[in-house]
Amino acid sequence: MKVLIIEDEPQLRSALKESLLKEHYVVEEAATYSDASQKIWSYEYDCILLDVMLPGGNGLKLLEELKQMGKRSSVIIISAKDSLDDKLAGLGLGADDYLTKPFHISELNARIKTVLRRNTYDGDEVIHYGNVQVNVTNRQVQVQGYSLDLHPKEFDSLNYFLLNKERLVSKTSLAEHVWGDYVDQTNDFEFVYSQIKNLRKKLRDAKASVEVQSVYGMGYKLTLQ
Amino acid sequence: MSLLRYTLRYLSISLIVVLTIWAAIFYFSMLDEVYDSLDDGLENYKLLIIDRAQKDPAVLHHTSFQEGNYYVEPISKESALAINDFYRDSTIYTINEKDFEPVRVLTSTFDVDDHYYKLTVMSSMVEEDDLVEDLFFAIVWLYVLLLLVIILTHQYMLKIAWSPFFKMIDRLKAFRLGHDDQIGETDVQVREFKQLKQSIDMLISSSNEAYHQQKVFIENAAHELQTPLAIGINKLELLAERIEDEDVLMTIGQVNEELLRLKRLNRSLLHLSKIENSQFDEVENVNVNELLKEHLDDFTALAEFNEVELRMIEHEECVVRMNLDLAKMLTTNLLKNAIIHNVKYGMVEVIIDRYSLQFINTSVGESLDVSRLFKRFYKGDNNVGNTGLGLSIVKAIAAYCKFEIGYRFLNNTHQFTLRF
Repeated sequence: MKVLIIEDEPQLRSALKESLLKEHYVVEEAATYSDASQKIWSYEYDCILLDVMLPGGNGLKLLEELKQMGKRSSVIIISAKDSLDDKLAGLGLGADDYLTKPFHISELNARIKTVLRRNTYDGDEVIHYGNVQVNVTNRQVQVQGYSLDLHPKEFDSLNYFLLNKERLVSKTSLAEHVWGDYVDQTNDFEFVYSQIKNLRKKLRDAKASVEVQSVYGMGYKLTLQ
Repeated sequence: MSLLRYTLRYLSISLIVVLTIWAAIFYFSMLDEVYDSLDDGLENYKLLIIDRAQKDPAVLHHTSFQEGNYYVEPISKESALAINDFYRDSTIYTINEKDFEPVRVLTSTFDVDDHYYKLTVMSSMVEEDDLVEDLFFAIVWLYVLLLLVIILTHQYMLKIAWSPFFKMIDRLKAFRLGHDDQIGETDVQVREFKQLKQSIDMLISSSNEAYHQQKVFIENAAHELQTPLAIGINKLELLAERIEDEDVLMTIGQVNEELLRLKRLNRSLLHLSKIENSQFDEVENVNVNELLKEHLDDFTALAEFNEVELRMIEHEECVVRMNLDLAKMLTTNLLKNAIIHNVKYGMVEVIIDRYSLQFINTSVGESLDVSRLFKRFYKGDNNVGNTGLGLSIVKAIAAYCKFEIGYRFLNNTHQFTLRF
């Protein structure tokens, strides 16, 4: 998978690159509008991370260029502006998702994987990890062929872990993703622990070969046993 | 004190002083004129009598005032020569008034064939006390009349001439910063009022400008903070993946928490300024019952963790026409508050009526400070990590959507009520 990061802020670009390399993507970068334009004309990318405010032009114009070229790259807009107009304009121009800065690395991972999958698979989508099978479409989980009964929030948590497998998932990121954007007003994400405790117990009881590890002080990591 | 009373107070005092001084001067100059005129008359009378006495000796026998205004008495030559003409005031008993009345008396001497006589001529005079009395009443009447005229003219003037002024006051009372550009009164003809209007308009436009600049500044500052925050959070998350040491991880976790707090604060500020800049103008029919069911589901985990029971009482279906994002912000903030500022084994009750939504939660504390409750950065208890902006957002949304938000403390419960 080949990903292009279009972002003028070098520090953010390097952080994104570091994270994407961990996911074994091929990563390229562009810092200006002309640089980005040149790259998307010359190469093919599976996914493009697009900042709206770029030196040399508005990032949304690159969406129009992509459309002209008839390229099918997935585009995720990453913008400092949480503006509905920009969001609607971006999605209207063919972007697949819109993420407002600041975001969690794991949230970006999840979004990238989701859009890549959406554009790759058409039918039922099943993720395999260890002896666990997760059907994202009908929200079914099976361990060694036996179905596992999960609460909707537990399913969302597991899915989020799977989109970030073997990566650190901070408890805030998990809370925001699973319990919604507005839960981030709750100031305190300790409640996530008790929820994860239940998920862990269910996985253990079903003898799953995957485990939700605690990362001291930060959050969790889904790993194979 | 009204403008009318204020000016009248000074006018009435200065009028009294001026009129009193005027009355005194008038009285004395009047009296002077009267004396002058009387003395001239007496002098003339004296000359007539002396002239007649030369021809008619009967005059010389007129020795009392009985039926004339003079009398004559013979005196020695020596004493006659010693007497010069002199005027004096005196009184005489008058039959008609049955009282002593003031008279002016001239005493003089003359001689007829070397016989010397003293002549006393008298003329009735104005009564001083009557004059003073008349003058006093005349002045009182003048004073009252003047005041009346001044009051009436003043009232008329206040109505006519000051009308732009009062209109300006009314406009200023209704003035809202950031909404009105001018106070609007245009038909001002008086120069001073024109200047007042110009000054007010200038003040308003500079205040408005400062207000808008501040609003834009907050929004821009919040936006500019997003990228550095993103870098900080993301780099820290990547760093945490490389660290094994638990102590270091703990510290990274703490720093991360602070960055996230900053992120929440920043987002709340952005929301506030967006609400105040009216950037949520897309409205739809929001079903409050449905919305709260979703929220209760989302908040169940938090409530369970805090060991708080969530209850929803639906009396009726409530549909409100408003922006969905604002509706979510409004209800989650109130619900979150109710769960967080609670007691162990406490409860949160959400009551939905046709036109109102109520959040009731148990509490240990006492009533919150109503005057500061909805102010920015108000923190009732020392809840670390709280942005102190939640209720300001609630208030801003309520104001924007023209809802009524009320708070009361009853039976150890906090009760927030929204009326749509």
